Parts: sequence; C-alpha cells; structure tokens
Amino acid sequence: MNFFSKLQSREKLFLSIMIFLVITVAIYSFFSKHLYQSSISKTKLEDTYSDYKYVLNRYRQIEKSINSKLNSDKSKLSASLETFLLSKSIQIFSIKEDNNDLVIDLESKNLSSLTNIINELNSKYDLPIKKINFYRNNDLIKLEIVVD
Amino acid sequence: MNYYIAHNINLDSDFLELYESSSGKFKKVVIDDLIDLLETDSTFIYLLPCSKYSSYKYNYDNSLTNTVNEINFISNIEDIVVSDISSQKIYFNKNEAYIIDKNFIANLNTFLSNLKIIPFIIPEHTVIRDILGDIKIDLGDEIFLFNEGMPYRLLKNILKSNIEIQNLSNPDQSSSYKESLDKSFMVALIDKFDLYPNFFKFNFSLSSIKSHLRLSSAYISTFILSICLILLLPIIQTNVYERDITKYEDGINQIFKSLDKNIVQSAKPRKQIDLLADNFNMSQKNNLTIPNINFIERFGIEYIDSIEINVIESNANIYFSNIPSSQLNIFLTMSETFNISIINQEIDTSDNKSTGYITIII
Repeated sequence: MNFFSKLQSREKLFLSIMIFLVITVAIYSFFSKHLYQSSISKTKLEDTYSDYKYVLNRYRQIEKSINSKLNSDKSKLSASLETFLLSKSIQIFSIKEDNNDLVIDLESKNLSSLTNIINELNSKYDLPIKKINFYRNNDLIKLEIVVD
Repeated sequence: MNYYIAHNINLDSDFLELYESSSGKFKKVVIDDLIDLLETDSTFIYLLPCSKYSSYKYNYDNSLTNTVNEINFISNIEDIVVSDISSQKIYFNKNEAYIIDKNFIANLNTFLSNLKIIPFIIPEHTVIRDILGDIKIDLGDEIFLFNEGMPYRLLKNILKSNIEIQNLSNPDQSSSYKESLDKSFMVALIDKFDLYPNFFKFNFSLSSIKSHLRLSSAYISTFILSICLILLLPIIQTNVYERDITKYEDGINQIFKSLDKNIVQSAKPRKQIDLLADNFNMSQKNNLTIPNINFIERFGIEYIDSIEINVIESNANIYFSNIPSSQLNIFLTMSETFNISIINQEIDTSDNKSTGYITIII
C-alpha cells in the first residue's frame, strides 16, 4: 500500500488498468474454462442417459424373452409371479390354476395401483392374458387376471 | 440547493466557522461533526487556509504539458522550498502556482470523498482577493494579509518581535473577520465559487463509492455473492452433470451384472447389449396396453360394480349401479377428453339414479 501511494498518478493509473485487465482476463479464462467443461459434461450426460435408456429397454426385452419360457410351465410361472407380486405393495388374494388357465386374484384400495401392476407384469412377462376383471369389494378393489 | 462554506479562523483551534446558505447563519463546528451536519447532495466549500499551502507567481506555458510545467516550476523554486518537493502536490491557476503537502490534501480529499456532498477545496486568498481586494483581516491570534500579491497568515506574537513585518501588517489597519467574512462575502462566494481553483479530487475507494452510490452493505454483499455464484455456477453445474453421469453408468453396469456377473462392461454399452440380445428370441407375442381407466376414480368408484376387460376382443365393460344421472351424464360427455370411445351402453334410469353398463374400446 505504501509502495502504491509513492507512485506518480500516471503510474498508479497504468498499474490500476493493468491489474484490472489481469483480473478481467483471469476471471474470463476461469469462467470460460469451466463453462466449456460444463458443456462437455452436459453432452456426455446426454449420451450416457441415451445409452442407459437403450440398455434398459434391451434388458427388459431380454428379461421378457427369458420369462416367456415360463408360459409353458404354469407352476413355474405361478411361483415367479408370486415372487414378483410379493415385492409390490398390494395384497395377493390367490394365484391358482383353473381349467388350464392361471387365475391371479389381487386386492388393493385404489384402481391406479392395480393398473400399474398390470402394466409392470406386461413389461416383465410375455403373458397371454385373456381377461382382466375389476370388482368392487366394499372399500377394496379386487383384480382378477386370467392368463391363457 | 443548500451551500455550506467552512473556514479556519484560528489554525490552532479544532473548530471551523461554518456558514449555511439556507439559514444564513454561522456556527462553530468540529470537522468530524460535518458527517452529520451536512445535508445530502449539498455543495460544501472549504476555504483552505493559506498557511496550509504556498503560493508562487508562475506563468503557465500552455504550449507545454502539465508535467513539463511542473518540472519548470520545481526548477524555479527548488532552492527556496524547505520540504522535500516529492512530498508536495502542485496546482496551477492562471499566473499562480500552489504547492501543498500531498498527505494533507490526500487525507482531506479522502474525508470529503466519503461524504454524500459536492465538495470544493478553494485556496482562501483567491476568494478574499477577488471579493475584498488587498485587505488585512484580523483573525484573532493571526493576521491575514497580502504582500506583493501573495497571501500570508502571521501570528500576532511574532509580529511584536519583528518590526519589519509589523509595519507591513499593522493590526490597526485590519478589519475583523466577522466584518470582512460576513454574510455578503459568503453570498458573493456562492455566486461564483466554480470560477476559483479547486484542489478537491475524488478519492476512489470502496467506502467513497459506496457512500456516493448509496449502496448498503447488504446490497454489496448480495452483489459480491451473486458474482461469486455466477462464476461458480459452471463448476456446480459440471459437478451435477458428473454425478448424474456416474449414476447412469452405475445403472448400466448393474444391468450388465444382472445379466452376467462375469461380464466386463465395455465403452460401447449399446453394442454390447445388442450382442447379448442376439442370444435371445426378442419377438414380442403379447403386448397389452391397459386403457386409461384411472379417471373412473374421479367420478366415484363407489358406484362401479365391476370392470371387465376382454383382451381378445379389445373392449371393456364398465358396470355401475345407482350412480346419480347428472354425474353419469358428465362422465359420458367428458369421456372423449380422456380418449375413451364408448361403443355401447345399456342404462336404466329412475329417480335420477342410473344403473347399467357401458362398453369402451381399449
């Protein structure tokens, strides 16, 4: 500070301009560098997300292909469906075979959770579904899925 | 606009004689009191005592730069100036030059720069000579006088021991400062204060800029914080992107691990999953899309007895009983809004209650 006060006014002006320019260039370099890095990261994120969606979609297809082999064996299919449905927040009323069909009875308090279960089953299993019936049972809604 | 004129009557005293144009009154104040006394945006004129600067006759050469004029002036006075010339600030005005201690004028400029006023620092003799002419003023302990056009403030004690100066500054021929520097003098000064040399130079500092731009500390803090945030935003954004990239890469990795624990994920996951998928039969035999039936809950699930979806025939029967007819009519009217196509309906209505079923396409 003492050094600065001893300088001539034109030297002070020159030094101030130089300091200002150095700081401006430093801030610009810092900002542009990180902006560039951010732009690269964004592109990479978009690519990775696109890859993830593609891989996930292919995985579901593979999973469905593997599970489609269960259609020929109703008891194995029944066990697999029970394992899957137990992981969901709905009540399994029964899963039983009836005249070579597999009848799945489920219960829930709302319709939307039951429709979600049907869509999830559809994406995971290649089920030849014949019928889907909803019945109101007092406060609960009962879902019956008949698989051929 | 309000004008204030401050003048040092006695240099040994801490008090300033302050004149305020709006009231037309004089008062004695301490310099630190000016911070509270002066009205915002008013003009403040400080008459700098001639004992704080030295005046010299100098013919300013307009054909030369200010720096060259300074050099020429210094070479003329170097032998007669006692103090180090580098510690002095030089001002030129018409055919006069003034030198003043750099630290003194810098401190004064800093102090006045921090006030929310329009300050002027005018050498007192230029104003007195212009308005009152060649006059001797009794300032109490001191006498103000001109000798060959140059101003002096002399202590009366010194006068008594120096006959040569005594003749020059006979106190009997002087007028008191109250008579000389009266209200009419101040009014005359206010009329043309901008014609006199001004030693004031705004001192740029954070506190002076803050004061003049009326910036509060909270505003400055917010401004600095905003700048920092703007500068840090790309870094924060990059970190968020990198975190999400890691999340999706982990997701891809988990998918591959779930398919084969021994698999090593390559840099091209699409190609890798396609190669794996080639080992499976990917033809989709059964693809069912459940129609949007959740809207039924909005119209009253308590009236719905059952919904039968026939996948093979791609339709669904919705059975209901004792639903209020008005409610059913709203449902039937708004069904298209929910992309529901009704192809058949069997409804019995009595006492504004409806029972029956409708068939929709799925």
